[in-house]
Amino acid sequence: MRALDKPKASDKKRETFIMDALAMLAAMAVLAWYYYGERALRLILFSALTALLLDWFGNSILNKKQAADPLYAVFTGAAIALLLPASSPYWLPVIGSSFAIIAAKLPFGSKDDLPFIPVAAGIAFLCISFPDMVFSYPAIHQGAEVAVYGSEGFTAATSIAQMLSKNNSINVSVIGYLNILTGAVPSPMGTGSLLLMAGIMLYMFLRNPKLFISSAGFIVTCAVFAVLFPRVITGRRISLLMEISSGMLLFTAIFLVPQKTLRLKSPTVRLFYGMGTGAVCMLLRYFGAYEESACFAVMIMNGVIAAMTAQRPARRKAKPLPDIEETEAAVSERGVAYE
Amino acid sequence: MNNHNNAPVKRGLYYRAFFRNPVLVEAVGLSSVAAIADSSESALYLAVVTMGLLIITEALTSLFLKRLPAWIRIGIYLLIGTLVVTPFVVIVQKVSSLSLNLFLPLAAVNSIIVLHCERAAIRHNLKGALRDAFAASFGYGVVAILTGIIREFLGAGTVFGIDTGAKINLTGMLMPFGGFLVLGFLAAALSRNLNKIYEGRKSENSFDMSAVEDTTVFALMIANAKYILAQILGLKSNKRNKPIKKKPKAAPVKRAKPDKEGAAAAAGMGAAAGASHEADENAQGGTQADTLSQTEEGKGIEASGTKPEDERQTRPASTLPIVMSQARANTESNVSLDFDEILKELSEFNARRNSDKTEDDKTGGE
Repeated sequence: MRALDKPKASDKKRETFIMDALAMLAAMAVLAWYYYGERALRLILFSALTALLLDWFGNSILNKKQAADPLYAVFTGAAIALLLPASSPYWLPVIGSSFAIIAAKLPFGSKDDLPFIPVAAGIAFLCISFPDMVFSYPAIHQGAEVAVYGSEGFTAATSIAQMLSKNNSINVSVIGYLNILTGAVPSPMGTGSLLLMAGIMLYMFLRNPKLFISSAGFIVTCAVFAVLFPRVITGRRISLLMEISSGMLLFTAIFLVPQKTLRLKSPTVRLFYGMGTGAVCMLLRYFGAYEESACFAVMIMNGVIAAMTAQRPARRKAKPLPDIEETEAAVSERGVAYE
Repeated sequence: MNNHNNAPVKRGLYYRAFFRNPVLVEAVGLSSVAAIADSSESALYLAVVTMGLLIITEALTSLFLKRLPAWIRIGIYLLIGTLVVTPFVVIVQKVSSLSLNLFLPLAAVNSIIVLHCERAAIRHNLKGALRDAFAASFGYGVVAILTGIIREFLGAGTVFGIDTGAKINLTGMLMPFGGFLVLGFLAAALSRNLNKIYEGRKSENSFDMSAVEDTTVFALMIANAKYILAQILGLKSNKRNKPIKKKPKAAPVKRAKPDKEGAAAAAGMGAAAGASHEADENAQGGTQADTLSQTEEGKGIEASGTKPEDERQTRPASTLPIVMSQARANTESNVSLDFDEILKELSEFNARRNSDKTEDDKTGGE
């Protein structure tokens, strides 16, 4: 384990990635505020604060203050909140962030080597524990305060992912396309707008082109699945649009797949990691129990990659045998020579 | 890796149940705990059935199965397990409304039974076997019940079906992955506390490889592989009753005694040295066999009884003790082991030995 107190070039790059990601999450938060009101911002704030406090507190208890990473903790908390519907109760993102930090970040100790992406772990845990809340999206009343799930004022709406799971297509009209582009469709708080996600992806790609090999593999694989095996009868083009814009697929491609903490060094490995994640994601979408599966796909591939890239001794090249006289001299220097 | 040289530990029930806990330290029976112990009640059933099963199986093994070959014994463990578990499952299904599905019957094939029967029961008398069975099943049961309580509390807010008033409903914790998570945290907590209680000691950290460099592991893997190879070659030569060629006497070469650490390391590798000794002579197989055969403390030398005493003295000193002592010193001082250097020394030894052999042949020829 390398010393954490010495800043390295990779640390700077990593910080840059997280800072960029936080800036982009801020843009998504603005969109969430636009559609769902202040409640969206409060959810993000609570979640980020929980993650930050738990990360600091946990590392203090474990005497690993160097491993504390406030920026990454804030990123984790904010991302989890943005992947939830705006109608979530306040404790829901708090539980997700707590699980992400306690179960997926702190036990692995280092801020540089995290075999499992905490955001994916937190969301996966929430999907399993509270599927009704996580997959119930409120109807959009622009700017109006959203009612909490289960309360009297709550009006559920059908998301694109739900439509796909029931083999229903979107309204194939200009308004339908426009809604998808602008984010006026029921979806997780921050991921509704295809236009915004495309802009964020472009920005992140320009800032971290090397990391985006895995993202490219992920999106292309998902697209190939969507075109080859459409779940709607309105055509392959609509299938592609719906699959790509539904749920947290693009968010996963931008923020979860190209994580630096996975330590995927080779571009080939990154590409295969992205393709594998995409394939698992689409298979789970087709055959899984939940309509959204990107977080599970990321977790599964995290495990696979962790097992495949586990530290193995490096292969060494064969060396010619050393000269006997020299070795005798070397042994005699050690004081165990022949008399 | 395991440093058991410090303060004495009383190896009683507490030690066996917790310091060598089957689930948290030895990592056996993990899946049954994760699958079955999703509530306090089912965990209690699991603990009871495992205790009964382990005590009966170990007792029968200790009394009757010692002389049977291992492959038959393992089948008999499963039969005993089935015989014990089946009536218990029938009783539980009548008494309790708990749905045990397939998981509790699967306790009959729990790996903890085979492990403890093979490790303890066949090597001890009835009293020892019962003591081991009780301690192991006690440790297993405590962990299972604790896991069940934690999971039930987090998953449903109840403990043994009693509402605690806590409005917690993390249903994910009732799934097997929740069980593995709880077990992971319990194992970490146990390891931390045991290291505090037994200061300077390390529990049997199956997963703690932090003190071991990759190169060391790799070197040991090679050594083990070549030792096994040497053993196989040795056995083959025994089957064929190939006579051992006696070397002509050479002029005795004095050598310095290896240091204490080297001697200790050589003693530790005694079995390897002994077993590979014949392989070295008969099959001429592998550099590691050649190297290992030089240590004098091996059991195999005594067992073979064919080596003259003076011949052993004529053999050049092994570099293995040096290598092992260096490896040990490096591991203790957390200095990374230079694997290239080890290989270099081994190749040096081989080169030296070949030159000695050539000289011996020349002397014999004369």
